[in-house]
Amino acid sequence: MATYDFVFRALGLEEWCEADGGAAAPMSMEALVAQNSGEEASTSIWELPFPSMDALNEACGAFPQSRNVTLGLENGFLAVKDSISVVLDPITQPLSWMLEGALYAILNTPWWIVIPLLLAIVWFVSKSWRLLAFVALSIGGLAFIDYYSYAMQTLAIILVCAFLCVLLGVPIGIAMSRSDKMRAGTIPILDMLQTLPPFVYLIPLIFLFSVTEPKLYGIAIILYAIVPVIRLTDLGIRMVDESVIEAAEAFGMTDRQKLYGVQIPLALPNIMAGVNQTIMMSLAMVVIASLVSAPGLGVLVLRGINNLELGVGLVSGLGIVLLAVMLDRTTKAALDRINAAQKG
Amino acid sequence: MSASEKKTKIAIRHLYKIFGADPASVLDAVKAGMGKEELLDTHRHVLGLNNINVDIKEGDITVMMGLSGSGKSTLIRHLNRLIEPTAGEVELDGVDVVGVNEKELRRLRREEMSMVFQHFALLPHRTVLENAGMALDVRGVPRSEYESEAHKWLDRVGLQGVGDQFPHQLSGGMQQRVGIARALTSNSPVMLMDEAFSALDPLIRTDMQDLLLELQAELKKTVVFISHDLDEALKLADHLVILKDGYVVQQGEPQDILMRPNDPYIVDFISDINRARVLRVRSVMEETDHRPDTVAGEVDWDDNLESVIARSEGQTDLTYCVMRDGKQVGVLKMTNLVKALVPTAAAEDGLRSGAA
Amino acid sequence: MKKLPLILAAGAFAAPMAAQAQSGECGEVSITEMNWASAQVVTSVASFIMEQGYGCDVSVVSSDTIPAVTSVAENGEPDIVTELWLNSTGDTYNELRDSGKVVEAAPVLDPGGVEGWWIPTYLAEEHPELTTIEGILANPELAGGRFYNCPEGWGCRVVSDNLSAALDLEGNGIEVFNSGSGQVLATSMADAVLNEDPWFGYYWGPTVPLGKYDMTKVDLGEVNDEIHAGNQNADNENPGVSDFPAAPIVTATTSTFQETNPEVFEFLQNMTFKTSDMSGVLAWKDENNASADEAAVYYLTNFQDEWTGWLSDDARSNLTALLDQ
Repeated sequence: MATYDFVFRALGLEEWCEADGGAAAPMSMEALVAQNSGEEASTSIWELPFPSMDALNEACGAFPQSRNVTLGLENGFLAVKDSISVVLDPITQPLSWMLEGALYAILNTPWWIVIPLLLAIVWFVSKSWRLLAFVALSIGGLAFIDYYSYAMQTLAIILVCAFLCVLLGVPIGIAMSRSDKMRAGTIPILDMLQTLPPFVYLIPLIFLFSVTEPKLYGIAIILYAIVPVIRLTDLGIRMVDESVIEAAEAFGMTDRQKLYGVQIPLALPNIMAGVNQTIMMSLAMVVIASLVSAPGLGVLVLRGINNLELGVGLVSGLGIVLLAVMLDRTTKAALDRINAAQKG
Repeated sequence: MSASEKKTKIAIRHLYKIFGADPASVLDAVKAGMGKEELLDTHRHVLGLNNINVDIKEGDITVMMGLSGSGKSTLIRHLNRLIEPTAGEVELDGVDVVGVNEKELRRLRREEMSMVFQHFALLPHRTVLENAGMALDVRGVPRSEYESEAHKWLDRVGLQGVGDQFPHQLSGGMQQRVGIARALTSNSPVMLMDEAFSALDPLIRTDMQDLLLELQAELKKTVVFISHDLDEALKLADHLVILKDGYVVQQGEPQDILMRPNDPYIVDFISDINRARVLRVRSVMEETDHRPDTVAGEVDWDDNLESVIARSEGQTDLTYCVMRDGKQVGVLKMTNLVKALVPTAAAEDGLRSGAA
Repeated sequence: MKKLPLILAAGAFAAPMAAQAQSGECGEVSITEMNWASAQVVTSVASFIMEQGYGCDVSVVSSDTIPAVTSVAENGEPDIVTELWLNSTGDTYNELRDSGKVVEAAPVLDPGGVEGWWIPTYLAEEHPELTTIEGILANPELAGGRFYNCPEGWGCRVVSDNLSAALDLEGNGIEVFNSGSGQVLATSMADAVLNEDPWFGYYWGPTVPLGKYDMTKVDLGEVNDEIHAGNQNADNENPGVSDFPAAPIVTATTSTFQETNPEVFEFLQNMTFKTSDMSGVLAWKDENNASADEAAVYYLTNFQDEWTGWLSDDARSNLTALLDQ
């Protein structure tokens, strides 16, 4: 006897229920315990189950169980995955090439070229001796404890992904700033990307692409890290002084002139803040990316966790922090210089 | 009057602007005479402009004046179509601006009309020189060519040697000089000035007004100037348009409006000003070429009354001959002058306190 | 399993519960639940029997092999660790056992777990030569040209690394792909099987994927305990080739628990699932999209002959209602 028998009786669906009554639900632990203690399922109002799919299934075998929903979703995905992958696979292939190329380049260039090159970039964007010294010490320190190649792999992945985030995110942000409809449609997606646990979309991605492709973790990182650069580009352009835009229009600027001559330059501090956030978030994804086989410091963190090698975990974790601080300070220094150029 | 001889540069005809979800649906109601408040209450639409008809003469400074919410800033933005009208025409040299396509509109904005803004609206990331040359830059003139033109106008508005600085390094008054230089560099015949001096300190504002008059004496542009300040309006205007709640209350020569206000709103508006300083002899004199017997002296027809009072040393029984270009055009009796100084009775419904 | 407050609120079950609590002096027991399917079934079955049969107040601790062993070593908690794969517990566990802190109750799965390198059965049928490692080395392209290795930090990773070095997989044209995680390894296999593509990699059982997909174990040759022991060392300079021996999987308790709860400990000593039964339960679980609890119920209702033998007389009498059906 189930609580909701009366529903199906009232609707006159008993026959339909019994016709397909063979597929009974697996017995639950509660039912077994109840059976052992010799008690029927309670009819007390305290125990009234919510009329969920499972509760209704108990009353009517033909009524689907809630597990059929998840199963249906799974089968649905498996059914369409081939067609999705036919489209997505070639489109995303350049990502694999870029990641492979970057990893190959950074690992096969001698350290005495890579390190000075990185320092030169830091000097070029920041013009700060203190930052330069900090970066030199950090990279030197990581290299000294033989974490150089791991750190460089992570750096290469971050830089490729952050570059693509900017490449894709800024135009999306611009499109959002120009159309309220686009914005209304995009914001829920951005919210979802930021809150959805990455594993939820990682596993379906494995079904779409081969696990051996670097783009798998590239996509995972980009999906997560692209959000701030989109948001801040949109915000930055929307925050550009209305009166300046009006002036640009009053002097007959085309949309293009307005975008490149006014909106983007004035939104640049915000866009750069977005780039900074994007880089930070890509770093946060490094460990999760390693779960889908991204090389670098994340692998060491995982090894530390899995084997309880506390030292390895801590040192590689700190290595990620060092990378984060270096990238953060460098992009912030670049941001400060842009701000300085606009404000004094 | 002299204005009648001038060519009409911009003609605003039956211009309506209604803000809201579906302006076209309520246009007929507005044309039938529905007012601003009723429209808001019954249709949830805001009446911005209500049947505006103004002729802007070439070479004049036309001042559109009104309190905030009167629609004056909305109106000036219709001239270069920064705002699209709900109905009506804006003709520039006989061409309807409302009807032109994007490309032609851009040409108009680039070559025919320049604009000066209340809050300057300079590009913060460009130097003063680049800002001054913006209009030419937009047209695709290379920097090397627009530089000399921009320098010329920066010098003309009194900004020597600041070309390489950024706008934020300048004071407000100097920034607005850049704004004016920017408008002048475009070399357009029409200059739209939206409360151009309202954000400045009073002293600097006076300087800028003088600068504008000085430039105008030389350049003879068609200037449309928006202001909420009656003193400024009277000082600058060749033609004064007074707006209230989106319609034109009165327009004409400023002296005319002062002497013959046609609406309690305007009476209220002008009740506080220093009439002696604003009114001119020509507005108060009796037109005649007959020379009376006892004449205390000669005054120019464009002198203001303040200067005449100073000459009379307070005596009210004198009569002066009014001269124009060495010829007598009328006589001025001090009794008439004193009468003209008495403000027309202020309206009783307290519009002023409400609007201030 | 911790339904107690709700049941008390209803009031209806207070009496029988109290009666059970008196029958044993079990008290509070904590047991680990590892994060894979067979361990969850084992834990669920054990918890049910301990609660209903021995009157224990069981709390289930979600854990994983290494954290569980470490926790026992450092804190003496939880009381029972089950489905402990001895080939991946490392030195910590051996030290605990040697020092007497932990007692190995019994193998929980018999004959233990199956580890090895696998290919899908359809591939084995199409190319029978691929069922031996020699065949794969000779025809790497038929097997997909890639070996899906264990994730970093797993015990099998070290063994597989040594094996692939000894067999020179890379030299024979087989790329070694290091899976980032167990999920990646499982998904790569699932994806390949769904597309009927070649797949060649490490896996172990009893697990849901091995229950769900028809896989054939690749013969790596003889099992040589000495070589295998050497292969478990990451710094092995002379890795050799030895197939994976059956992996011992045990239930262990703290020695304190053994002393305070001899009756329950005796039950745990008897609790040994047949590996084939477990595979059947896991296959059923996947077919029915069931939870681990439901799979445990399936086992309890369908394999009574197996588990009634594990019980003491008291416990059996407590469970009569169920057994008499």
